[in-house]
Amino acid sequence: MNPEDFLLRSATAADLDALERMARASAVGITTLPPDREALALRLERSDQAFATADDASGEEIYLFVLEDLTQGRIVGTSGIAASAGFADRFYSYRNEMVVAASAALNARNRIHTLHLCHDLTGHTLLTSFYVEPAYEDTAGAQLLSRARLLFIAQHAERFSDRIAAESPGLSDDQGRCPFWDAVGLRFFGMDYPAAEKLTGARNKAFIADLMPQSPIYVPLLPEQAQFAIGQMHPVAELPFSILQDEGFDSETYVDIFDGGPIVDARVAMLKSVVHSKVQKFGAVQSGVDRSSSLQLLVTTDRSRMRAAVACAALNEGGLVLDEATAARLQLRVGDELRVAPHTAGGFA
Amino acid sequence: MTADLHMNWNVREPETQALVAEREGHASARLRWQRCIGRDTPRHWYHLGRVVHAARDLGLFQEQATLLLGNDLTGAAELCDLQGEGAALHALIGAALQRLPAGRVIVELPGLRDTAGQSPFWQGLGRHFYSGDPREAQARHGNAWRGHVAALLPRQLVYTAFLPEAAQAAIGVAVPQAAALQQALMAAGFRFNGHVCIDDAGPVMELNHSPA
Repeated sequence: MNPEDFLLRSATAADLDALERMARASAVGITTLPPDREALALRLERSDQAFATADDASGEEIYLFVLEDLTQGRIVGTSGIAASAGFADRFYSYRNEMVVAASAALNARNRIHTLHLCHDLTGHTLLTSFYVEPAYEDTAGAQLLSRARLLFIAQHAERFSDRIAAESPGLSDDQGRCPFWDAVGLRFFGMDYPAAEKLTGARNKAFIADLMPQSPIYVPLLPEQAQFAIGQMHPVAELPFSILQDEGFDSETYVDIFDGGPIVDARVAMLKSVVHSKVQKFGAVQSGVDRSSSLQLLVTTDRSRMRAAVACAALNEGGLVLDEATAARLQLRVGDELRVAPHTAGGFA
Repeated sequence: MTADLHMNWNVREPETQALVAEREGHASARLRWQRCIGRDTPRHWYHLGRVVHAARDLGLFQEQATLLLGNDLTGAAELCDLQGEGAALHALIGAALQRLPAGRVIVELPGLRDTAGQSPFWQGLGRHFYSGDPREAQARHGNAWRGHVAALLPRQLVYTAFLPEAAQAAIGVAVPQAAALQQALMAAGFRFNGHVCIDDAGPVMELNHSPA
């Protein structure tokens, strides 16, 4: 599939059907994308406001993006951003720590893995809601879907934290049984995870976390299956996870307190796409931009009309040179600014 | 009653801080004591506590038992190496208490073992923090091995819910062979107050001693 066949843009109310379809298609529930039409409509409304508002950011904003396959005229993926994790409340995670204890008399030295309940990631900007149709997993569309968000955040830094995180769903089976929850949460709730989620309903998850053990968990005391699940993700999360790892996200420090899935984190300024990005003026249209010029990830800088694409672009003294189709795709006028980073299929590895 | 018992037993102190109860020249019970423990070498115990996690509007109310490693009983007097039973032991405990000043007095009882001689509590908790054989360590270091192993054990609160059921069930339970001793201690006013030994979770019997 041609990398130039995709358009990423801010979601609108008209995308509700597509969003609902994707929320239902997702193999494990995307917690930020519930298969509930009313809730989704509300999220679209909030997203619309976040893109459009002239007010200063409060941190409560969510931004939703959709990916279009222009050859099919169809939406095939979605992704999102929450401006501030745990907004107005706490965002809980477990921090991996190692405790080394030693006894000279017993000639013993021990490295004990512990999990510490923490609020470290509260206020971090959170990447959310990643979904792409399976047929598009290996396309530039998937890269666009994830990485355009990073450039958007870098471009509008005043609306986001300088630190960024993303959750991946942890290991669970088709019935929703989750070995980490069964070993940890279950003991404090006396119910399985789906039941606990249902019970707490739309409440902030911090509410559940208040009922979790406040002391560190000594990992060797957990059943083997649960130990194995720490930092392991559900197979559906492998693609978005690997894109973020290629960007330089760290996956060693934090895990989800409910299912043990990895939470990656990074400084926005250290991400590869951000480091290699530059703001350029759109200088001119030229039919048939040199096909040998490299593919670029292009993100418009006008927040209220956010669009992004992968396209061939050349640079001359007048600025960025794009072909007519790309300019039309991004609804650009000469003189508009773009944030541009090299598109490297499969990341930078 | 106590006076009668004492009349029947010849209690003598063959060495410092050791007592023997004899009748007709045969020792029937013996014990040793220490006036103040844990001030030369630290001593460690777990304290059994409770944490409640409640969310009234969700109908959630979870009570959790916890273990916290500490040196709570430092400074207490201790009766140890108690042997014998019945009236002789009772007399001896009384005689030992007469020699002790007011304050806390403790007796550690051995914790549960399975048929293979293993402590289910150690199997559920201690083993994860010290992979050596506790019996071997005890043979080499004597009771001081507990102080050594304490350096390896979890310093933070441990929720007993994370332990296997057999380990949980062993907390604060003495081996059946110590039942008579436990009875004698209770008759003398000792109570289990939530402190257990760090290796096998055997109960520590405590008395707030106030000499008449």
